[in-house]
Amino acid sequence: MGWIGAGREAKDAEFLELVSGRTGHLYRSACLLTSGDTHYAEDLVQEALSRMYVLWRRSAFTGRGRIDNPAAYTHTVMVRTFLAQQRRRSSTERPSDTLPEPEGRDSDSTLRLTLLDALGRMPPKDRAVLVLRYWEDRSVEETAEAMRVSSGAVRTRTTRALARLRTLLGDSLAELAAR
Amino acid sequence: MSEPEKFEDDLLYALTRTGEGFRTERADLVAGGYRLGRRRWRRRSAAAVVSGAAALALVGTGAVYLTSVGGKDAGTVRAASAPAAGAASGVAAAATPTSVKSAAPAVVSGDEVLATFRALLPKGEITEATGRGTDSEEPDGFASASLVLDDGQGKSLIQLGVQKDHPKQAQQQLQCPSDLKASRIDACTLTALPDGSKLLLQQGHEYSDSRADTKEWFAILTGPDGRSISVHEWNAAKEKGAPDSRPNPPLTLDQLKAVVTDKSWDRIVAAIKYNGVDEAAVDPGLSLPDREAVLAGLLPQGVTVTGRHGDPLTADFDLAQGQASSVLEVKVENWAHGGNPMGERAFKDATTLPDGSRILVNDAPAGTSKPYAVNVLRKDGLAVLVYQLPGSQPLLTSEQLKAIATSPAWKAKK
Repeated sequence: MGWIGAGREAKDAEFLELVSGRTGHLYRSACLLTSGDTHYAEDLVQEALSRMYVLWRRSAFTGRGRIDNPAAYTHTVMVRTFLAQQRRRSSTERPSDTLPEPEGRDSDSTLRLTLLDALGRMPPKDRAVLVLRYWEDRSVEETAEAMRVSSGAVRTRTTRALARLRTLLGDSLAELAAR
Repeated sequence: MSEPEKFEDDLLYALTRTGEGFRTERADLVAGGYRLGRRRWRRRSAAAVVSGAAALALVGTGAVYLTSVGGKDAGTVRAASAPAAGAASGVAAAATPTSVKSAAPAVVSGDEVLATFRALLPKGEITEATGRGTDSEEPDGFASASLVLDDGQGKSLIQLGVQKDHPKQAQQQLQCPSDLKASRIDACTLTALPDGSKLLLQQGHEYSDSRADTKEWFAILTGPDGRSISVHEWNAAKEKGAPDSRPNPPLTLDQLKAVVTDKSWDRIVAAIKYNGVDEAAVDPGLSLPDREAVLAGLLPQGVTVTGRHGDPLTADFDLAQGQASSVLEVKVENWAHGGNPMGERAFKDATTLPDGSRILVNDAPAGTSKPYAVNVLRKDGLAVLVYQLPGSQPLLTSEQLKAIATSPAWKAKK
């Protein structure tokens, strides 16, 4: 914050307005990426928002690199942050033991725990590709952009991740999703 | 539906049910991310930002200029400064350039900057030449020039930027990007020169993606007196998407080096005012606990300080009242020694209070009722900014913010 004159606070408020509407969704994505580690998910969201703030400030100043859809881009930033952190954490990673308290109907909580447990056993990149493609509903190209890999790599990884998840889940997903 | 399709369908359902089950206090996350972002912005604004794709220099204190400027319509983007975190503590930077012995001119015109630049370039036809000197309406911090040179091999845009930062405080630290290939950079070298200057030479492309193949080469020199001189050149007559006019930009790296290290810049550097705030000069000498103690005495009953973060000039205090919490940024600077001319300009539309203080209240964006910030510049030169961060529950009213900002309890210790 500088000395006023240019309405910096209005700019900050604008940023907050831009991101706050989507933060709930961002957090839920983070929970899926972290396979239910809600504390890590919160850190991840705040990290992504803070990086976004810096990007946004910089682009607001320079007019270059304008971000057309800040909310969507924050998701991208978060996925990239997650993948970068996972590379550093991978040697010490352990399965999450902080699954959330079940909420709602019993079949739902079983479904959630089953899915999160399976996600937790998968490599971070597999999780990321599934979250982006199936939860975020992004196209192969958008997923490739977010993960900074080729479209071909996204297709291959999606196929492998689905196969891996099917192996992990067996028929349980079908039964639980039978509603 | 095939088996794999059925599985994808089930997965979609399961992810949706699972994801939607997660609930959190959204406002806390937003506020936390925002606070972290602001701290990160303050920190990073002190660090190097050398964009190969853009002829852009991000100045340490938050002011930004494009080196492509020239003439009146400067395309300049300026922002009131946010001092770099932690940079000022204990810095007793002598802000005197050592390499400039001759009497410094008071002002240097845009034409002089341009003439100096032209004299250092290879012979050729020059068009679209503009220069910006220190006589510009935007007075601080930089001079620039831009021209198109045709040395007989095709037109090339060449741009110059000269700026001066408080050494050790805001001067950018040059570094080559860690991943040259990802940024489509063919070569980058960083050299320390015998006089203590640092020189970065880079050959890359205007765009790091495949949008265009235009090359952009540049040299940036930073000197111990705070100078930063950059020259960018393209193998095209314009920036951003103009067709390439020749295989390579005209100046070799050696020639670029010769231009930015030339002694003829000395008098221009001497005429340029330091960019941004001299943090050592405006430091009021108040520690974080000092400032917390003053603030705690000014808060309305029931509001307490629960945390603090900050640097010698700016601090964020976490406030609480019952279950509600918010963050208050407090910035105190002592301008009695003339350390913040840019800040003083920010007060030109301020209201004068009976005691001679000038006050500037920044109203909240349309549709909200609470002002976010109050700036006060006292007659003794003490400047106090109180800023209630958006994104959290505002605990203080406009009047309460004013009372805090105008309080005589804020006293500089140096």
